[in-house]
Amino acid sequence: MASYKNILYEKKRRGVQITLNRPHVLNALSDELLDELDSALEEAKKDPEIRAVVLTGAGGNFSSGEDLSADTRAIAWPYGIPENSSLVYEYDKIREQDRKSFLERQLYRWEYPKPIIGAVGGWCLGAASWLALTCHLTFAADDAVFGQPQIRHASGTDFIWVILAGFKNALRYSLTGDHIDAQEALRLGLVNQVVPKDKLLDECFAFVERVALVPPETVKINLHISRMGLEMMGLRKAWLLNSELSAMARLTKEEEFNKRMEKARQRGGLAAFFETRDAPFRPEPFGPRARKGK
Amino acid sequence: MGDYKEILYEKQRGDVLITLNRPEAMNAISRSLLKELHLALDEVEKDDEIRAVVLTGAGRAFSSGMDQGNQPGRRRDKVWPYGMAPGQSTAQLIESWRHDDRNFLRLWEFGKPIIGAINGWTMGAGSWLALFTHITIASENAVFSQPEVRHGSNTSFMWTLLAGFKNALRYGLTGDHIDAQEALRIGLVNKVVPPDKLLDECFHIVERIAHVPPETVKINLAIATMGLEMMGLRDALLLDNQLSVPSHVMLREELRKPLDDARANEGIRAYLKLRDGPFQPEPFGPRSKEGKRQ
Repeated sequence: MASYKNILYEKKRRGVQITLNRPHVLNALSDELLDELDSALEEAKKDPEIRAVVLTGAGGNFSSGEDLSADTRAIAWPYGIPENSSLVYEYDKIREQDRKSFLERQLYRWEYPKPIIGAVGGWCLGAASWLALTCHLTFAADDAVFGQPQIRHASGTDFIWVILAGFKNALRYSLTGDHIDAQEALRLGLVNQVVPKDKLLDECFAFVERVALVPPETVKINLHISRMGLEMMGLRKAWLLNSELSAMARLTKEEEFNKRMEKARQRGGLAAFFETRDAPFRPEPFGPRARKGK
Repeated sequence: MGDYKEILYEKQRGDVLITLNRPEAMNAISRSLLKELHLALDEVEKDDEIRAVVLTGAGRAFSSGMDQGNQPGRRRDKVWPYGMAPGQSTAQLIESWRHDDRNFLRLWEFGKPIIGAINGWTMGAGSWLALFTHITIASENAVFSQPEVRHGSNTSFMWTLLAGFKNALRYGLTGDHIDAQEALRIGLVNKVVPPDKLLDECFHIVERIAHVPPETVKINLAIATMGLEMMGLRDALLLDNQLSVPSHVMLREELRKPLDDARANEGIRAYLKLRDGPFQPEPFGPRSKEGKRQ
């Protein structure tokens, strides 16, 4: 068994629990963590005792999404790219990154031959929402909050939202980055079921045990009928286009919209950046930052 | 009948000859020329006497490609290393290139056969226009190429569709010139004829088509064009379109700045010499070793 630093790998009840384990940063998805997740999934794939994977986060949250702490470069305005860099360099880097760190990994998990079950509690934001929603099944704790606030500072959404929630619902939330609570997520079709927080993992493994009653070859084929059917209908092409458009979205920083946030980041770090970005959107329609939530 | 300034519209027996008519600019495709071409196609659609279109260029070129002076986002006063115009943001620059260009697809989907009569230089978007015609006859003096890839621009998937993967890459990655015979060998054109026989050959095909009922011709066109669309051509062109954005905005200072400077200080000839000089002799055509000997 490999040794992991950013995740936990625990075999139990006919499956394995893989836990995103960087609770001090709300399990932000660093490249290193994503690499380990791939290795852990590869390990689980080869282990015939493991019939399904439960993917969850440590410390009560699934994940805050992409790790933004790495890039601290100041932005040159009005260009909207880091000082003394160039558009050709940034664009090429972002396109490569999106394909390698994101699209290829997403397709790997999507094509995985055993069910991956997302067990989502607490915050599940941005790229983490894509990770949770691309799981074959997704169970939410009653305190789960989904959102894509990163689109407020120039980033793309993911087509999986459209596949699961439908065109209008996907746009309602991906054009604003607004928060969604577990019940709204259930209504939209983002999750299979909402369960009390303390029952979340138990409920997921109860499902794993049921899957384990079905022959693995049958499970594999039935996974593929759904997955490949959506691919035949064009999902793979949609994701390919998505990846290109995401690179564009990440580059579209405008002085009018982004300068305040970037200044806040230079002064007060990520917390100040997020506060400047999200304050105008409060109260959120759902979740802990909603009127009711407060 | 429309009043055209940049094209000629000449109705003959059973067909119409549309001539791109900006010989002073080697029939560069301006926005206004493209608009007139579409107006002419509107006219053809309504005229039952017209069974097919022959499309050619006036003077020594079919078309030199997109009019360089007539493009959004094409500003030459760049700030380096950013590779963008003063005061421009990445958001604006990307958006200015994201014009959804279905202009050529309409030719492909047109209900009457469009026959390209390809004379002389057929470069860049001019080559795409030629390749989107249903039947393409080349004069012996035709030269196809996409030299714009040398200063940062994209090829078209139509090259891959017609010439196949390897042939398309051979020329799409270099912008190298090809002559009529090579175009015939790789499948870009149906036939090569002497310059003075070019229009005769095209009219000859039209006369044969005119013996077939128009409804049958339309259906048989659709079987070929829509079949390829069903197989994914439309999706490929959609992605092609989006990829044209990075290809136009990703500018490297060490490659692009000398070109822009040459153009600003010494004019278009100096610019072309600087850009194309290192590629000479070309493998085919008037700038090849053989071509120079002639």
